[in-house]
Amino acid sequence: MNMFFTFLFSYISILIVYKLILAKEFFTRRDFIYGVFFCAFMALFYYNNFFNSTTEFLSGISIILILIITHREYGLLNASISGFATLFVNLLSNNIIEFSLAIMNVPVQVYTDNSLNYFVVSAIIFSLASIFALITYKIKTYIKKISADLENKNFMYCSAGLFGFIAVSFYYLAYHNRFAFTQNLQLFSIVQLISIVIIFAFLLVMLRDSLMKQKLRAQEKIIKEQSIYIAEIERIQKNLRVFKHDYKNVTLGALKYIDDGDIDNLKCYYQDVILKFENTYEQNDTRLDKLKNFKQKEIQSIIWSKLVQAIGKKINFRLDIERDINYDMLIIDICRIIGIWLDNAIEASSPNDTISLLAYKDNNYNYFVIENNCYGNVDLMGISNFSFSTKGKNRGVGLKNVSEIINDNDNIENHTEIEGNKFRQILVVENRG
Amino acid sequence: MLDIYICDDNPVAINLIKRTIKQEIEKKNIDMQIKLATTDPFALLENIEVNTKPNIYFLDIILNAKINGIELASQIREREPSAYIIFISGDAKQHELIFKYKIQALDYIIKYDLDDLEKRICECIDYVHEELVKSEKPIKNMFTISDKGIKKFVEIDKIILVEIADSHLKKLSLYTKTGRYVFNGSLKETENSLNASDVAEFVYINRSCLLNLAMIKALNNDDKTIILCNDIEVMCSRRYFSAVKKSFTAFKAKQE
Repeated sequence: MNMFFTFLFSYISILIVYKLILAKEFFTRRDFIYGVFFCAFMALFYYNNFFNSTTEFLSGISIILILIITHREYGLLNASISGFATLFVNLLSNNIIEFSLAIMNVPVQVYTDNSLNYFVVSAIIFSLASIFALITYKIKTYIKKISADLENKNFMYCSAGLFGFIAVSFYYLAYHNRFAFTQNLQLFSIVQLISIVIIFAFLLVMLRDSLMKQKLRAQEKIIKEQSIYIAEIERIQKNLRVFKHDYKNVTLGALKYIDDGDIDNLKCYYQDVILKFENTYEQNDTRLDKLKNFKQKEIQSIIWSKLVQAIGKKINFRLDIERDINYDMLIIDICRIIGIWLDNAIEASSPNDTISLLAYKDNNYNYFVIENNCYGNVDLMGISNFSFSTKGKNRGVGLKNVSEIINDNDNIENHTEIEGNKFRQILVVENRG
Repeated sequence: MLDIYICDDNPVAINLIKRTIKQEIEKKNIDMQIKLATTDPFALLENIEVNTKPNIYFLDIILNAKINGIELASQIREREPSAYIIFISGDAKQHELIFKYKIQALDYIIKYDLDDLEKRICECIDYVHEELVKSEKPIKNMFTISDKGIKKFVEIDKIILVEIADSHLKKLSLYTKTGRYVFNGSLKETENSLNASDVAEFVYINRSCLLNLAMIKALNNDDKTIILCNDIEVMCSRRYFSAVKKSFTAFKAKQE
């Protein structure tokens, strides 16, 4: 029974750490039910001598604990990764200890059940669990940052599975062969270390592979966009030729009035024909040219791809971009903000609406403005909340991400305004110098 | 007396604009004068006199000089933030957005259509005149959101609430009915400047949220929530609820 309370204590302490670091809501009844079951099981195992030694036992506990808790909070994938990672690190630390012990020629059976009291057991579990909690959290946020919408899931599944498979097999080998191999412990440890290196190498290869695939996909996308770009340029060229031809005729018409000295008619002709003529040809043909004013090339491509979408939906797109615009923030962040805003703008627009996009700078600031038509009421207070949506379930996630990025950067401010039937997002980015 | 400055690379256009403005001033007896009309933007910059009253500028975009009209306008803005700037140009449509946001131009007029040009110039003059007549707008009732980047003024009585936006306590988000502004600032200072004016009263409903009392529609005693005028429910901290209730009833009583 003693052991049961030790487990309960350690479970609760780990729970506290997890909740403090990661979770939003505090304890629920489910947590406790899980915990009591878990502790009962562990005590049962313990009294039936299910494990060979304390170390094994400790690893078992921490892994199962972490599996349970991460599963509760983050789903199966993260649970398996963190669980296997735990196992792996346990193995590694065991290995290192044994390796150094073997070098120093100390007999292996240093840690027996008697040498650790209950308190130490809980303390070790506690610290292990908190370290892994931190590690998983960090890794998760990092991965989220570098690969916002890239396909990383397969890779994660694979690496989790691999970790698991190799770690389990090692574990099995290490602890069931130990007694036979005591004399060859040095060799054994070296083999283990080499295998771990191999695992890492394999993982690296896989990572490289998946990165290559991503690159390939990105390149394909660029090629596709480029071809649309070229088509657009050809269209403009053609327009220009037609314009040149027509302009000659129009000016010839004016010449006739000038020859006759008929100023009144010339005035009429100018207002009726020439002005109208210019208006017909005044199209947004210069907009492609302006995109290159962004110093961050990634922004060009994201705006370009959205522009193609907008053209497809017959939405007018107006661009004005000053020279040398450079937003002093992570490129991935600015691209996400612009992408999400443009997506929303395109979604809110119906054909023949206009989306205006403006980028300019003064002194120490760079600005980005998007304006689109909006009809009906927009609930500004709900916009940054997760539940926001006039468009269906879970559509508000984009703006939530934008808020997070804005909140994480000191040098950014954001104004969202509605003026008449115009909806406007303004981003102000200060240069950090 | 308001001063008017004109800069255009075409002397013919300058004469036209001058004539139009003069006619309008004389016709309506407006207290303005044309101080300078030049083809050289640098001469204009040198001769600007910043008075207590704002100047009016009519600028062309293409100036045949080292700087163009937009750059000239930004330099004028730097010297005289409250200036009225009006663009008169051949291709105004292209830069419409820049005028609107960066320069905060009053208007942009396309040069070719002569009747329209005259009409629009007159409209601008009239608009400025009216603005100044009704002006002396009490600046006290405006809250300045962030003094960096865009200076944005919001009428204090239109503010619904201000809350801390992030976990680092560095960003605030301010809501009005038509806008949401996320900016750097401290809630404490914001509270001080908001409550310094007498047009509205703000209370804390929890540690990180300031609410305009005038925006409260009803209080719900049972689950300690507040219903706002736009029918949104917000949670109120238990610790703050009684204080909110007290000031709300006091506020209601004062109103009636």
